[in-house]
Amino acid sequence: MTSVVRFEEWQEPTGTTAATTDASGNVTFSNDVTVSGGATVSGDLTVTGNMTSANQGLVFIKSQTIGSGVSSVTVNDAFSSTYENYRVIITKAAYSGSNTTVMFRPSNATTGYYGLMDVDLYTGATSTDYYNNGSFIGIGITTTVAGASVSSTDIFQASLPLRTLIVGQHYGNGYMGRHIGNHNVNQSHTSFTIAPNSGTITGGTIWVYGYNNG
Amino acid sequence: MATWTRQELEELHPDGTVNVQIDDLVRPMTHEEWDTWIDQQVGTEKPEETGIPS
Repeated sequence: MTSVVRFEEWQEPTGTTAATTDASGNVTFSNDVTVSGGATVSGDLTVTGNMTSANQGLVFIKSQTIGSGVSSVTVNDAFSSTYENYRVIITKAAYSGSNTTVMFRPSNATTGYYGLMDVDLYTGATSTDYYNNGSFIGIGITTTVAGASVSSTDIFQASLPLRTLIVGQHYGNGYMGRHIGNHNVNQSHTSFTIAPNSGTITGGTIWVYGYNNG
Repeated sequence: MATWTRQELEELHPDGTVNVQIDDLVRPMTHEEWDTWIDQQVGTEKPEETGIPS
């Protein structure tokens, strides 16, 4: 395969040679590369390190594999001054019981939450609104079947000394719905905790992304 | 709606079988942590069984 890389302007880092070209014309950059102008790649582009750009949207921060039989999972270093707003996704988890609320707590704080989580059964037979002004915000419904539930939550102002606002959607055990809430405390956070309202979690992954501030 | 009793919760989650996780560290709950965790769930509503048949 012949790849052609043409940079209008690129900055070669100091130190060792940054770019080499093999017999097929493939170009390898062995150091960090900053492209301040445009770049055109007519072949494949493989990036083995992190790649960020000024107009990039979501930026991967970290993922956390969930252990076996855990009552709660705390994810540290999730939020920082780099981003104001975040997305947290939970996939592949299996819970010890079905139809229990999945709780979300920034900094594992146990007071000051106001929110709504609504759920509709797939048959349309059941529709329930869970209002909460207590110790957590509900962000999902549990199921004992691994990989049969998901929660996707946008978290706003998490790293700022302001209220933390939460908006998302979830699915689990045939129930689907929205979750919207407010941690009504002016506080910046770096961590959050996920836990089922009762029982334990086994397996699954928690994904954390930051919204590029631009 | 039915609520959890301590006996039911202890049978479901015996002492020594429940872990807590902080980042990659998974450790068993201490007896005190387990006791508090069980207490927090006593009297809460049991979830309805409705859902996708499995």
